[in-house]
Amino acid sequence: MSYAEYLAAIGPEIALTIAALLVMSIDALWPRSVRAIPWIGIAGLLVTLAMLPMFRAERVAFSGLLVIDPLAVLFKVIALISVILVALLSISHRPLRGFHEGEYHTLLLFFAVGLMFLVGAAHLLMIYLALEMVSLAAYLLTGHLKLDPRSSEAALKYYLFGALCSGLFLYGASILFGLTGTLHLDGIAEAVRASGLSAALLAALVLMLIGLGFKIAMVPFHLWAPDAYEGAPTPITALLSVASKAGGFAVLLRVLAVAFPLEALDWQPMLWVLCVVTMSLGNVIAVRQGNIKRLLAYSSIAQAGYVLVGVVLMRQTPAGLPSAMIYLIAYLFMNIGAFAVVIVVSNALGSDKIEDYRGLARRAPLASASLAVFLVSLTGIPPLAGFIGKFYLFAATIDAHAYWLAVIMGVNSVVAAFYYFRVVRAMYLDAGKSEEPIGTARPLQVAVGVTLLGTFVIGVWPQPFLLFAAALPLGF
Amino acid sequence: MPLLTITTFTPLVGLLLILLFVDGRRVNTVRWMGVIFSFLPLLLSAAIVAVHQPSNPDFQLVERLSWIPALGIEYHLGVDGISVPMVVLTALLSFVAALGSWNITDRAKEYWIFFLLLQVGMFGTFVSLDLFLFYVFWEIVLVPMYFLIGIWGGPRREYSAIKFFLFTLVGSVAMLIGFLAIYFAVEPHTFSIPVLLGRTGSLPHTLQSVVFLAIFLGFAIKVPVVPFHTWLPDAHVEAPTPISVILAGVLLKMGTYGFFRIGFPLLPEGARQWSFAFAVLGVIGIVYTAYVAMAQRDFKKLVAYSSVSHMGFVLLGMAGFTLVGFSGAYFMTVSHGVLSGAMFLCVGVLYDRTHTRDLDAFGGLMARMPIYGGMLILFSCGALGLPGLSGFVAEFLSLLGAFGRHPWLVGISVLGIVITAAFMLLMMRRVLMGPLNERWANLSDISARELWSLIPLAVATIALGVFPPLLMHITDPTLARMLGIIGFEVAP
Repeated sequence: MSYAEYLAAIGPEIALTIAALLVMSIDALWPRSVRAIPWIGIAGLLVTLAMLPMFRAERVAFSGLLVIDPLAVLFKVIALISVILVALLSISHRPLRGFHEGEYHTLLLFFAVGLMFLVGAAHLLMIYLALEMVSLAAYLLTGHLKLDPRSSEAALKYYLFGALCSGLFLYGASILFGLTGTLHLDGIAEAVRASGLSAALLAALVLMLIGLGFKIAMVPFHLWAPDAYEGAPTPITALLSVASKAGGFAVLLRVLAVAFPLEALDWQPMLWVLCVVTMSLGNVIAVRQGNIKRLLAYSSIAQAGYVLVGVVLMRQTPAGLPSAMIYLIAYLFMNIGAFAVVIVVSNALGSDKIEDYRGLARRAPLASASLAVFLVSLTGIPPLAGFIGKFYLFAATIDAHAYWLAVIMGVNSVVAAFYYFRVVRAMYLDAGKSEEPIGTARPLQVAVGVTLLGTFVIGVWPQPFLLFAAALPLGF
Repeated sequence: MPLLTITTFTPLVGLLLILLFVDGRRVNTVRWMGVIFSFLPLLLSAAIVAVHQPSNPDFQLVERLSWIPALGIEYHLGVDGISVPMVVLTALLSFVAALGSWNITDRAKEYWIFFLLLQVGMFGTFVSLDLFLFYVFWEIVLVPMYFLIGIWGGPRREYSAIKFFLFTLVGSVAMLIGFLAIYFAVEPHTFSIPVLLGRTGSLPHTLQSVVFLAIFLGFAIKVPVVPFHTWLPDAHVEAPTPISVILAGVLLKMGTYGFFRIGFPLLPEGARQWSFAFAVLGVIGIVYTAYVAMAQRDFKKLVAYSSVSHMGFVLLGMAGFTLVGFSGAYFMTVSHGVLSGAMFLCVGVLYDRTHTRDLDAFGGLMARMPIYGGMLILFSCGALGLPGLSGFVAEFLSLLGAFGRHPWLVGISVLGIVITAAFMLLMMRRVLMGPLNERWANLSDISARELWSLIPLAVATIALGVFPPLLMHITDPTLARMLGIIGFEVAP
């Protein structure tokens, strides 16, 4: 492989790294141009996104460390769109304004770089390095508001949990290396097929699942999530709940689909239990939350449970993997959209309490209507994106004859409707104390507009998304 | 001309116009637009009736476009003898309810947006020929209804709104799982109802009977069938009058329509297997809720429970598997839509003037409000099954059609008719007869607007009662063919 080919494989990543370094230098050299920094970062992200179609040719690069395949490209698109939206949210989030913005946006860009490597990694060492890059940026971003004790507390909890879990992941990976003598996922698969099931193999799987389960906030490795989500700056909460989670799913999919052939080790029953527990516990606890960030935190745990349905079934039905991907895409738009409105409200009221949302429909009609749309979509009502995602997941369960999973998911959807509509009720049904109008900053308007558009387009015209997702191959 | 699409989405046009171009403070503009865009579908539905050929049981005015080919989902609309009357009923009651919404000035813009969105969902449900599309419209109804009850309802509106929403959602999810089970059971996979009609009958018996239960749950909650009816009294009592009219007149019919369109013809073996249980639930509904209605002091609750009781006849009639029974059950669907809508309007007229629904607080109103009294008597007699009015035809045919298969159940259900007559007559006595309660000495009689919203319903009640073929010549060819598909050949 020549250097030109190397560059061709990771062109977008290089571009984004340059953008990140640029932002960092501008911050250091021209401190007065701080207002321009976020926009330079967003421009860099947009350029990278525009480059992706040119760099989508399937290939294996760096002696098998990285693969560029449709799945990786799709995950890169998800990662970039969500980071762009988060950058937009960050510009207008009041506590972040003028507070070390250069560092913040540099970290955000490096987070995105790490994520892009993570979703294409096909080698355990590469996975670990990318995972750490993403995590370190995420810890720092969570604790960015260092004067706010809640932000620091959130970062500390997140970091301690994260360090433990990545240690366990590494331990699992090393056991796997000891068993198979290779770190390449496909090499591992061959060796595992040859050697068959052993206690050590099972231990390796469990340890790696813990590490990845932490990333996607899967129960019972979710304990960090509500505190971290509540304490982090709200745009970072959106980032953790969408981008970081998507990265975790990318690795989970690859590890399970490629490195652990079902015939050697049937991981489905274990994942089935984790999936059911994740969605049920997330939903049940969300019912009692009074803070909207915590509510969305538990809701996002439950949403990860839904995505896991597709992962559990990916070997049993051709609808499994596509349904998980469609759900992730839908979730990206509706969840970041919801956080955008949360920022609108917290900018104006300085509060994230659901009781302070009372009467919001009169004070901010457009923002309230948007949040209502996002919540209705999260509930899974047509013709919105969340419905298409849920519909496809239900289809996967029926096609795989996993009827119990379908019933459990159905019950969960109803429980979820209850708490999503608590917020809707506060906004529309309850009377507020004040009628003073609330304004929405321009970048937030853009973010809400884009996410609304995504929520409606996927809901009304899902055909292109379904076609693309259905064509995803994954090391079968 | 895509008549069905135009009918379905005309309210959406009105909605968008109001949403984008009208200032919410200009209440008068908003409500004029709302009423006009609720009236246009009525004209369009008349056009549908004019174009529809009753003697032809096939789907007509069919519109078919590819929508989500990746999953074989189509935008597929069409009507036959059982959808045309529903479209007309929806258009009529929507217009009547729109007139009844005239006095809503609080957050009027939002009100009309939700009201028009509700209409889109209702029309769409009755003209969809694709299970996916049907489900989409079915669910669209849910959200505006939640807001309409929750914002403009009575004191316990929040509770009632979410109860309605969650109950219906449970049913919808079960229904969706059922639809998917059908989809994956046939090759090639499809949601198209006309295609499925010929194929699903041969599906394995177990599959049919389980899927029937899942789909039954979805429709039964909407109808509602006892014991899934507990959301209804709450929702009805709290909802504002025009929304009660829509709820009783159209939304409940979505459930019975679902049995006619999907449950019975697509899963004939399931329907046959559960028919006895189906009939029993119907009879329990008829008798039990009639007793419950009798015990009510709240006028609106009485009407709500009598509503549930009447829907029992639909179940009983269908479980007979005869043309007479099907025809009667369908007749009940339409007749009850008209009558219950009218009854809720009557309750509303009184409530607007007195701000109470306590039956014991009235008395002697006939002297003060003779025209109103006449209307109330007409509709109550229709509901209690007086010959010459639509309710009688519906009850009689349902019972007659079910008698061959379930004679004992029919015998028990007659008890319900007696109780219904009793509580309706008692209600009329408490409201209209006796000495005039002095509190209401200055009560004004029904206004012209209120009267004109009742008159079309009165005409329909009498016309259907005196000349039932008016409706039956539209429905019976379709129902006869449907019975054939289920496996009960009938002479045309």
